[in-house]
Amino acid sequence: MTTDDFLASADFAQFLDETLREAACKAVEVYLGQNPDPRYRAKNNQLRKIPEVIAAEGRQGLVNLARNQKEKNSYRVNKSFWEFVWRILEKPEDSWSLYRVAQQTIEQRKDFFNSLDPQQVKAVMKKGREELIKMALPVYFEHFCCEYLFRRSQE
Amino acid sequence: MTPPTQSGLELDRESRHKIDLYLEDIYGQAKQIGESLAKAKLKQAQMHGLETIVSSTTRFSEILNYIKNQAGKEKSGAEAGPWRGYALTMLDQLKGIEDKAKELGGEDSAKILDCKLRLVRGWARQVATSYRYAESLKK
Repeated sequence: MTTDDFLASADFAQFLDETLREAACKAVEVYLGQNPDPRYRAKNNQLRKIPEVIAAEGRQGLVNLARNQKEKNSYRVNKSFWEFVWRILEKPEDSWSLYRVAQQTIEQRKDFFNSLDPQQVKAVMKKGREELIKMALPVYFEHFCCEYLFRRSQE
Repeated sequence: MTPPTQSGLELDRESRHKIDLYLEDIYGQAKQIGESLAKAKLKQAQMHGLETIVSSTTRFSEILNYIKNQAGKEKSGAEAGPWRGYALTMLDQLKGIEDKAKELGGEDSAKILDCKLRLVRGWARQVATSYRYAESLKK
């Protein structure tokens, strides 16, 4: 199976539905845990920008927005929130980051690499991860934003 | 009998029977949710919105997210709105549905996805019917 086959498969649909959702919900839980006082959490209006930017500019657009906001936003609360969003996109260290989930999913699909020599494996893995992130990005943040709104509503 | 999902997957008879039995088992919970939503003054249009997303989506999690989003949009205050008040209960019931679908589907992702949608559509029909009946009793 190639990565393209996987991205069109029921396994990937189930990944979007469940694995990705669990990671995004975990990310929300971590953010809320790091910011226990509701007064110092990002307001819901910060989240509205996320799907708009993804639709218009894709992953790089969201990375640029997060980077700009974490560096330049005048409110500490918002800077902290966008720093968190940036970590989701760019940091493989966190188990709940989209980057890490994508990397692990590709690594687990050994059948992608069966007929490849070692030099090709790295390139295929990188391409597979980037394709997966591109397709999973809007769904990940759908899960993230809805979980965040819900958790705040229950406070 | 549970109707087929949009995927067109032909589900085996035994699985369809188990889905029907499970929907019978959870009927009481779904009925209670419908009644509670009517009592909490959920608007007809909002119930219709839930039914629309359930019947049109191909992704189970989109339904979970719809409920979470509706709860998130309601204003906070002394009296929780219907979504805020009952979203957690609905999500708990849907967690049960997801677990059942995984039990029925095993390692087969296509089957799991199909079972999830069949189950949630059955559940939503029960909730909506109970809601509408409770609404009719108010008149």
